[in-house]
Amino acid sequence: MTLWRKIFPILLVTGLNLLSTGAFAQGGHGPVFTLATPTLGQGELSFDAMVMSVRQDQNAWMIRQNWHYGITEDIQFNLSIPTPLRKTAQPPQGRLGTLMGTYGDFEASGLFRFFKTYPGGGKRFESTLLVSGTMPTEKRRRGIQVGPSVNGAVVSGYASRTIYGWLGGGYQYYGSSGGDQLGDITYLTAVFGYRPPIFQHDYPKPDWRIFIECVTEWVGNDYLDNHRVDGTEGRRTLIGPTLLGLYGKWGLSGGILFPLDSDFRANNQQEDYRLSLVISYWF
Amino acid sequence: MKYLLSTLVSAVFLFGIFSSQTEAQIIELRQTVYGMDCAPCAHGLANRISNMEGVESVSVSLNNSLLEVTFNAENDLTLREIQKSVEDSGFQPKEAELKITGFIKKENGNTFVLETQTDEEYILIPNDQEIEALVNDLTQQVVVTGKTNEEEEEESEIPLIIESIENIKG
Repeated sequence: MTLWRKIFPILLVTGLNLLSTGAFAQGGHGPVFTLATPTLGQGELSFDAMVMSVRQDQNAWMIRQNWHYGITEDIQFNLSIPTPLRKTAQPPQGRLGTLMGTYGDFEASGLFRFFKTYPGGGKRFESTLLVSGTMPTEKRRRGIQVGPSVNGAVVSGYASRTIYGWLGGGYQYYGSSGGDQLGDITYLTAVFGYRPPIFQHDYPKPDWRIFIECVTEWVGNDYLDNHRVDGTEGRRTLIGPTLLGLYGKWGLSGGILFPLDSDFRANNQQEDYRLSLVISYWF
Repeated sequence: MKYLLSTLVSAVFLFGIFSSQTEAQIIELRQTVYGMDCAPCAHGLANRISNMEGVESVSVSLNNSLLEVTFNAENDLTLREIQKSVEDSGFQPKEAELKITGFIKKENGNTFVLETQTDEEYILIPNDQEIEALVNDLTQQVVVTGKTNEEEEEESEIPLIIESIENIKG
């Protein structure tokens, strides 16, 4: 079955999902791969459908459906549901998008905006805590049995009509499964965004902005049958541009990250790039 | 006969306007809102406010950090309710300009308070004019246009700096 034949029904269902509802709400700020401080108003709902790819010697493809709900204006609940389309035999360990989990893991998360201040009109500085848990949808990854994981992160940032910036970090720990354990992930992210004056139109005109995103991940050793698998640990840094466009109820974003630096010895931890395309809808 | 009929229609029309004005509380609101940076922010706020019963129209400006609302004649919304909705959307309400109807009463000597149909009351702060010079009869319903402070405390009475007061006749 061709990739398109696999993708089309999922996109169709996703599209119907998006079109079938009629209410409205506020969504996130735009970075695709890095930590940010998304907020929804109390009782509001948004949805993302994204196509993601990581390339080693060949491309792995995945679709993720993400639901976001504002419990209060400072507390948000998220569900991220993966649908792997094409897997590679040895996918690298890492968080593909820091707000949505890694390969084949179903993720539920809570965001708590514990600090906010408004320096002026159209501006805010805020800090958010993220706590999440994952459940694998596949039994093995790189030959390692996959267990559930927990993840915690914190991010602070600034949003305005012109400039955006966030700095954050987190840690994900995988539980063991049958004597196997995937390596833990410690990560730092940074993003800078800019809305050019030509796109600083007032609502409801189209709203575009560009980001430069950077992720550094330190990955711990895998364990196989309670034995450490040497050479699976390492560090990688990726950087690249992303673009976000907003109009009415819809958002379209996408971007690509390229490796800037990597010290992994194992070939199966190398990445040529990470790619993502996201459609968002605010209910 | 035509003259009588047109007069009667005009009287009913005008009666309807002033009757509805005497029932209204907030007529218009221009609320400064901090924290809105993008289109979904504006849309979420506009949708939340427009779904409130009694709201006639809503306009949100990101570049001016402004929420503008007009209300229908039968609304019983309060400024605090609107500002709470702004906070529920994740933003911060700051100063507001509003046009509001009510009755003025005198308290504690020289303090004038605008009482409205809801529980919300406004302490009127004159702006170079004495209230008693503006209001001929404290038993008459008035339309007050004014501004609130940027930082409001959670007091039961909201300070309102007067810009104009008009008597409602009828």
